[in-house]
Amino acid sequence: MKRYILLFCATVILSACNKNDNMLQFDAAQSYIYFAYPNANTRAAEKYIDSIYYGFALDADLQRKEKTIAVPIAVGGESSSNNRTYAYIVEDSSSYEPNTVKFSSPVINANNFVDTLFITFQRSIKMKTKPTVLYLRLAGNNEFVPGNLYNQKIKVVVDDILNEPKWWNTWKNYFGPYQKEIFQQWMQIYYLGADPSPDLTTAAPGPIYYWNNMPTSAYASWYPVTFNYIQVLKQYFIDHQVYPDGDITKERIQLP
Amino acid sequence: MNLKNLTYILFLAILLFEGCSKDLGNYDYKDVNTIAIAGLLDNSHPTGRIYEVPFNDTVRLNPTVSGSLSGNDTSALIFEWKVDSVTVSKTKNLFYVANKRYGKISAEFHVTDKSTGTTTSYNCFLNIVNPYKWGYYVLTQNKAKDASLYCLSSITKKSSFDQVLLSKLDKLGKNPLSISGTKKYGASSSDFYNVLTIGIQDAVNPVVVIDSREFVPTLLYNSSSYVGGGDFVFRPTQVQTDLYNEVVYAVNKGKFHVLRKGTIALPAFINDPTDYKIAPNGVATPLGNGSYFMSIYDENNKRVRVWDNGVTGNEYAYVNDYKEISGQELMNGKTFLACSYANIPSINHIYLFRQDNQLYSYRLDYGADYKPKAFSQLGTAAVPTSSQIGYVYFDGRTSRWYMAAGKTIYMASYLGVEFQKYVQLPSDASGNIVKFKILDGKLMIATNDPAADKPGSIYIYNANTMVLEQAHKHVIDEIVDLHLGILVE
Repeated sequence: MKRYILLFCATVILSACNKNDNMLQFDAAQSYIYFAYPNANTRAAEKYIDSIYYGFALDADLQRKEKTIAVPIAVGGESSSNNRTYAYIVEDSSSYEPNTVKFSSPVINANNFVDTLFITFQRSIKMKTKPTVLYLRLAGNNEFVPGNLYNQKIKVVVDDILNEPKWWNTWKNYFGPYQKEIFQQWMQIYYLGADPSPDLTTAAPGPIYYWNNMPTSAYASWYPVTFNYIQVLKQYFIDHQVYPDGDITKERIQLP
Repeated sequence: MNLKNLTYILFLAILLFEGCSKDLGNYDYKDVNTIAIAGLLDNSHPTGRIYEVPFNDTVRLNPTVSGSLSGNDTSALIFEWKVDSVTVSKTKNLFYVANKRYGKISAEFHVTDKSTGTTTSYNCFLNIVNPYKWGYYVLTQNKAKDASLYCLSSITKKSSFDQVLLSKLDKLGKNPLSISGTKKYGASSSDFYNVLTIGIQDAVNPVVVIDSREFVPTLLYNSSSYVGGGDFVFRPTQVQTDLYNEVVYAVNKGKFHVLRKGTIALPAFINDPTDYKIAPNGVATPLGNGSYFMSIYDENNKRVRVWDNGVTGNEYAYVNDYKEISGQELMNGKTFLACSYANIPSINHIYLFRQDNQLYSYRLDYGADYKPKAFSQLGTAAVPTSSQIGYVYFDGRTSRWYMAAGKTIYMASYLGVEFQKYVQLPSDASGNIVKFKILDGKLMIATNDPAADKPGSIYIYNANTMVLEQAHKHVIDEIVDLHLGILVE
């Protein structure tokens, strides 16, 4: 009996000697490259995000014609005293007009561990109906190989569409059903700096609440200033006759 | 049973049998000198052992120390006082100048008996506060209408009104309107500070909210605080704070505004077709329910206005203006004097009017659906005096009307308006009563004597016994308003 027990244990122990073919290796002699766009959510497990969004319609400068997005490119491994070129591929699944997008040179300057890929988007009519989407994937060349498994690829979305923000549902009782005209006016009224309130939970000094960082709950006693501005918004649509898309055959926009 | 087990059992049995030995009680007891500390605040909870000390004042604590054997002989005792963990005295009595820092700091008194080496300790807190954290506050104006704030501290030994200057604010402004306030409580009923609201008509910041702990402005309201933008000018004519909430009500160009968290909201009923205008004293003092219900007296249209927010969570955003309330005509032709929210029995508004020499009191009742139902007359009576009626207000806490005329304050139950004499100033008091308030068991009365160099006098009564406790005659400029925010020991 003892013999069988020993044999079983030996089998279990020896199975641990199996080679892990999937194990990631870091070759100190090699230089790796990856997208390093910082994640604003510092609590998230991933330090870098894998997608970027920009909307011309959400920009405080309503007349903006172009937007440059700076994408940090980070190097894993040693730096070099020479400028090094990296390679990336714009994947076929991307959807964009080539004449409206410009890329900067894909270069990691000498002695740098981080450099920037600048992508400039021209505002176009088409963006009002269809987002421009780029899928960029880093490729290997003589200087670098793609590193950091989760950040070898990045998605960049740019549009000119005033989408319903995530917070709208929370505030629906006061803003009514989503209308881009209401949202546009709210952006003008409740800009960063209008509401001096400190953070409700941390008491961090304001201003912090504005149209793109709305309080997480719609309680008037918690966020009285936000409600003050909702009154201003409501009054605007009382004083001004605004129709969806300017179409006077539709019902005039008013807040509840 | 083998020998080994027997040995174990025998060993355990010996241990057990030892416990049966008889206790002979022949211990050698000796009485030890037990130290008792008295004459200091004695409370099992730390909040009951706090000495309130104004900054820069001196703390003198003279405890009584006695021993169960040594009696009052303290020659064998070593004393040590520690304040904020620093030894400040090696004597029995503490003499400490509170000029290090603000806040609650610990104080420890250790008594060590040299004969036994035992130490007995007492712990308490010294709460080093601004002397004006609690007191009687007075808002005044000089002949040039410049506003000043005075305070008679209720915690310093000195009994005089000091002018209080606000850091960060050079001058308060001109044409002061009012001072009001609420209390912010901490861990106990005695652990509070005042949140004061000052209204000045012509000022860089016409409304200033002050934290009395360090007497610094915490909120400043001016034209740029208005959420509606445009060419709004904030020059209020009435300012009052809610009694229970951190909300300030202001009347600007006759319109009603709510001030919260540093912003001035749009006026209530901004597009009112009848262009309402709130009369002086015409905001029904809310008793914590202002977020839902509000009533004002509209002097443009000579009628009471009743508003609510639809009893929703959208606080202070009044959307209903009730025009067709039965009984409204009862007030026609009468002169408005005062109004207030009331809780008699639950939701009401109460109004006082005058016609010729007769007073009329009305109540607005609400239905079960929280909608205003009808006005009714509560009572009528002759004006109690031939003197000119001055300040009139309804005290919601006690449901009583108060009215000043000359040097006398009259009082009436809400049930009627049979005003009775409540208090009369001493015959040598100069000037007529301009303002008075009853709070924390005190009645504070202000008079102005225009002929005097310092027109303002203050009289403080015990509101329970009606005994005059303090009279400060001709000590300050012309008094505009007053407020009580005192610590009652």
